Formats: sequence, C-alpha cells, structure tokens
Amino acid sequence: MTAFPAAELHERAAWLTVGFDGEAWILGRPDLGIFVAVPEPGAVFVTTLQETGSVADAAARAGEVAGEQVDGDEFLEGLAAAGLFEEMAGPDARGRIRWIEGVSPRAAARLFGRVGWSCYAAAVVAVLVILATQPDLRPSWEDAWFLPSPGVSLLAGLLLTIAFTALHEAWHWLAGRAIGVPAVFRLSYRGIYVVFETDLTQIVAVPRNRRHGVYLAGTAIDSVVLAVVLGLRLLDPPDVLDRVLAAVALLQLTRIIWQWAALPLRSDSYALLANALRCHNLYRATWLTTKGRLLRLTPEESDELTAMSARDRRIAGWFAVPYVIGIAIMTWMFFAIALPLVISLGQWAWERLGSAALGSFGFWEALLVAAYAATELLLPVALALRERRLRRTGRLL
Amino acid sequence: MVKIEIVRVESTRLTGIMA
Repeated sequence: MTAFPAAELHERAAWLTVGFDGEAWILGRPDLGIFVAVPEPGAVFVTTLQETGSVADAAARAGEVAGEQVDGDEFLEGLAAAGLFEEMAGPDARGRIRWIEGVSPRAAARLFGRVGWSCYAAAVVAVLVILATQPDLRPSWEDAWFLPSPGVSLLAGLLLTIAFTALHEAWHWLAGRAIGVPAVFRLSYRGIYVVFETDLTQIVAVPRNRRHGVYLAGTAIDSVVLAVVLGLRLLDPPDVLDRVLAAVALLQLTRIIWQWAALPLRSDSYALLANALRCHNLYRATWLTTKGRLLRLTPEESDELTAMSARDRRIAGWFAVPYVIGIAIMTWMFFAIALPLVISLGQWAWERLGSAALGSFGFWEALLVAAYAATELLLPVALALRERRLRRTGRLL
Repeated sequence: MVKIEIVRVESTRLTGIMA
C-alpha cells in the first residue's frame, strides 16, 4: 500500500494530468516536469481515482478495460516511485521572458500554418540552389574574420551568435505556443558548449503528429535568415556589409549542420527522430544498449534497461549508427572550421604580442585573443581529463 | 493479477552560443 491515507491520496491524484499521445497515455506533473507513459488501464485507473478517491473503484474500472484484474496497489507504488505524488513545487523561479507570453497561441499559429511552412520550405530550396550554383558564396572559416582585426571580429561574432541563437530558440518557443505548450527558457551547457535552452517537456502530453513543427521551427527560421543573407550577397552589396553577411552565413550554415549532426548531444534532430520513431526515452536506451555491448552494465543499469518500453529497446539496437555518423560530421566541422579558426587566431595574437608596445590597445587585444584561442583549444582537453578522473574514482559513469 | 507497466518519458530541452 502507498504511504498516503485515502483522503491525501485523493488530493494528490488531482495534481496529475492525463494526456493521450496517439498510442500511449501520458500521466504527468507539469509543475515538476515529470511524465510517464502507461497503457489505457493506467489512465482509467488515475481518472477514476481522481473522480471517486477510491483505489478499489479505480482498480475495478481499470480491470474492466484491461479484461483482467489489475494490481492497483503495485501501480500506485510505481507512480509514487516515479515521483508523481511529490509535494507541489514552488512557483517557477526559473527565467521566463514576458514578451512571448504576450503572444497569443492564435497569433503564434499564423507563423506555423500552411503559408508559414511554405515560406520555410522555399527558404531551404533557395539556400540549396544558391550554394549549388554560386561557389564563391559558399561559407568558409575565413568569413569569420569580417572586421579589420580578429579581436573585434571575435567580439562582434559572439554578439551575432547570441542574437541569432536567441532567435532560433524563440522560434521553438513560438511553435510550442502555437500548439498550447508552455516553455521555460534558461542558460545551460551540453558537453563543452554553453547553450540557450528551451524546455518544452510538456509537449509529451500532445499527440505526436502535432509535435514535428516545434522541433523543426529553429532550423526553419535559421534557413530563412540564411536565404535572406545569401540573397542579399547576390545583389553585390558594399564591401563592409558583404563581409558581415558572409559571417552571418557561416554562422547560420554551421548551426543548421550542427543541429542535424549533434544527435548524441540531443539536438533538435534527435527530438524530431525520437518522436517520429515513437520512443519515450531513446537517448538513455541507446546509451545503455551501446554500453552493454562494448562494456558491461551494472545490475541497476540492467534493470533500468529492462524497465524501458520494448520499442525503445528495439530501436536503441541500431540508433547508435546515426550517432556515429553525427559524431563523424561534428569531427569534420571541428577540423574544417573550428581548428583553422583558432590556429589563425593564435598565430595573429603571437605576432602582435611580439610587435605591439607593452600596454597599448593592440597588446591587450592580442592578449585577449590569445587567451580565447587557448581556452577554445584546452577546455575540451581539460574537461575530457576531468571526466576520465571522475570515471576512475567511480563518480561518473 | 496483471501489472500495469509504467515507462518514464524523457524531458524535451531544445538547445542552441563562436567557432
């Protein structure tokens, strides 16, 4: 039996939401961000418990749907173990930005109707045609030096990156708003990268076929920006503007490729594929399956894998293949763009430090750039060594 | 008696800030 007296259980059951994703029922606590998938008898059990407050009634009604007697107490214990009956979370203290809350779902939906998606598709076609037919407009790492000095380029590039990343995330957010899913916005990290994060976890209670647009929205707006930038460059703008446009084109193209390649870091394309394949926790299932093949699983990990849905386990058997392809593309991007950029930065700074007067603007700029280049090169190494040390002491899997 | 299976659902956090 669960630890709650009947009256309290009735009260806590009222905190749960019940949604249907198209094939499974999703029970959740939106305030805690916890969701689980159950078959129909589980959903009937919870809705009956919410109505009557009686575990016996709930089990009887669920049993009618299942066609045989169900174990209600054991089901309740499972829900409690998943954290669905935890105390109410306080008011959400995490960052929310008001202006998007001010956009009504109807207004947001206009951006993602037939007209909207036709525009996004046209942008993708335009980008492909321009890149295929105009070799001199294809971005290269040299485009990142778009201002006279690398130091100023670096700072301006960082500001551009932040602005366009915010636009990308805002589009996910608006797409969520269009189907009535609230989002939380925060600063986080993935692997070695600092990221803006849009948490749309409540989307799991929405039917799966309505979710695709939310995952694609970020890349859709990136494609529009890239198409506009390449289109403007075709018009032969003045030199300074042309260089800024080239830098934005490099930024947006690498962002689009990254979102498709970074599957193992749970990029937008991971969310899209996991939903299209109708999985509930594919990331963890793939990780455990691959680890089980290469090394061996601890008893806890083995239990965790067994508790996952049969479908997740089946797909996890081959999902490591797209992971490896993604890692190969990310590695190519590192050697084609990041590494030459950082090396040329370091060389420039080294030469400047040798010739600039101590304490002059040029000296400080060169020092700053050298520090940035060293950080970019050494941070991944330092983090990898730290992970290795934590693994050895058993504090990290 | 039949057991009702419970499967955890992962969170959805979409991310995007040089070189």
